[in-house]
Amino acid sequence: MSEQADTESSISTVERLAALARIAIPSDRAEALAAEFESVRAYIAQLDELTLPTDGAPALPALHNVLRDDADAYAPGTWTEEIVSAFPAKAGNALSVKKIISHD
Amino acid sequence: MTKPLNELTITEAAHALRAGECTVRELWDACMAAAKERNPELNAYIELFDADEAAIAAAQERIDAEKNGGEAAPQLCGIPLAIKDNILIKGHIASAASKMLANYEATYDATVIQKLKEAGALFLGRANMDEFAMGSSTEHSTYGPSRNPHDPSRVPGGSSGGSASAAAAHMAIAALGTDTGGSIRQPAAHTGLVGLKPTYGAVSRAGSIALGSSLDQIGPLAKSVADAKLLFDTLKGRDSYDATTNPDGLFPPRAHGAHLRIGVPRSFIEDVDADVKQAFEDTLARLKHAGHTLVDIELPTSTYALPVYYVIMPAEASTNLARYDGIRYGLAKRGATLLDDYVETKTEGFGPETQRRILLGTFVLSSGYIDAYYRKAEAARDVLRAEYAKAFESCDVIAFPTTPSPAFAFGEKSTDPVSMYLEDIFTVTANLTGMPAISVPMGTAERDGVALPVGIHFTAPHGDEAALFKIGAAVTGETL
Repeated sequence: MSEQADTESSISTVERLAALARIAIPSDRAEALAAEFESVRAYIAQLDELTLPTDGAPALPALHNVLRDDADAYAPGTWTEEIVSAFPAKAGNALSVKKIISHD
Repeated sequence: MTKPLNELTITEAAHALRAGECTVRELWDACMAAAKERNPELNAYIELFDADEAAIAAAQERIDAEKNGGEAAPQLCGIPLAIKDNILIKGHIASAASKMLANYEATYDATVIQKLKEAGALFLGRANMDEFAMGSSTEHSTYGPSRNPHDPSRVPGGSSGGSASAAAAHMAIAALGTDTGGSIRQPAAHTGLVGLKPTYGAVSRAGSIALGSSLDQIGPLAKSVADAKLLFDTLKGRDSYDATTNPDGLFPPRAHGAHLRIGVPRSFIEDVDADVKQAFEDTLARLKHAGHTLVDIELPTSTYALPVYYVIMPAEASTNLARYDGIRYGLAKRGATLLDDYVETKTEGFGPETQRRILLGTFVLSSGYIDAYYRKAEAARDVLRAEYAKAFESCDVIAFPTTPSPAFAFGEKSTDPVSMYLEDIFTVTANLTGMPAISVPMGTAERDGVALPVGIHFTAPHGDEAALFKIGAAVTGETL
């Protein structure tokens, strides 16, 4: 691939990742961000050289249950006021969000 | 008392309070006056708190009660501390130095804050940091960088750079930081402090703002090894609010005598600056002279630790930061649709480095690359752990310089993210393996006519902070 094609491909990768991450990239930042991203990607690509004993057959981790019993629950309402006070928009104690289902 | 009160260590201040050489109020005032004088230049604190009169009075009462033959007050009673801005203190803003959380007021105390309050400690303010703890210089703080008190044209390190700057400039007696890849130890090294990253799971993270959940630990930045130990002893322990905290007795104590065996992986430290390497060799020679043993060890996979870290940390960061969506708290931008709400909030709320790492994390977790990057990096962690475990058969602690160079100048590493990441080359492995590690001052290296502090770094097996305090005290010449 030509250098220009490389740059275009890496800009489109960054734009796709940004869309997945719900971040908007201003068009005048895209090229610089793509270059930074490529520099980091080249750095972590060192892992390609690393041969691990587990290559090909990932070992299963030794799993055990780490969840505690659901005990000592708070009484309902203990934290409501403080949590609700941080809501950007509310109706009483309910969090207000945009309507996302349309009946049209 | 020859030293000004704000320059005391915790143990010295605790003694002074009990000897009647100062009151809690005078100690607080001395630290606050120093903070007000120096903070405009050093920007160590994002916010200085008003004096909590009730807490100051209560601390003084406990100390007076002890003096009158009553119950002994904890050593931390009445001691003013700086707290990194990603640790929640009820009723105060906790922003992680991000625009995203600039309006977020903590609804509860982090477990470590609860423990410090119970011990009678006082909080001077919110210490500056790189946004969401992503960085090695505090240049990524939305509130502007902190400065190094040893040379204000240089960085204090990061991400706990505000904590380091505050303690090193005696604007606090000691400080709390968090360490995901070196964020306590590297700033400690750059500012001449002792910094401890405890064993993964030793200290509760309940109420700290998460960066990399398999890596993060809270720990102290202090003026002495004894102070770091005192803070660690106060903070550690199982917490029902953090399921990743270790139960007591998970790691049986390791026996070591008066002298330790120090493993030195010389092939891994070839690229260190000549004078930093010299300070390192001089310190090792001094330890050897004091009766400790030097052991050559090999850690072949360590050269890959930094790329492994820069896969795992962004993966976890992008996952953790997904929660900041403008819906429940924090910055809340509003557009035409719900999707616009998310995009506008994240685009405006996250700074450039945070966005970079979110993109990188999204990349290494995407379906086409997760095997090549994230899963391979996780597998490499197991290999690193095994290599360290093998090395610890022949030694008690492993030594490196904490950083390859002393503190760098502002802007020196901000054009290329990878050059900034290389600051963490010696510190990340302790986070990847979960092992405890400490940085202790080992002298200075001169740059542009200024003697800048440099640190020696020791790693110990899981749960063996005792070995770190012992070897750290041997370096500083303290008796614990």
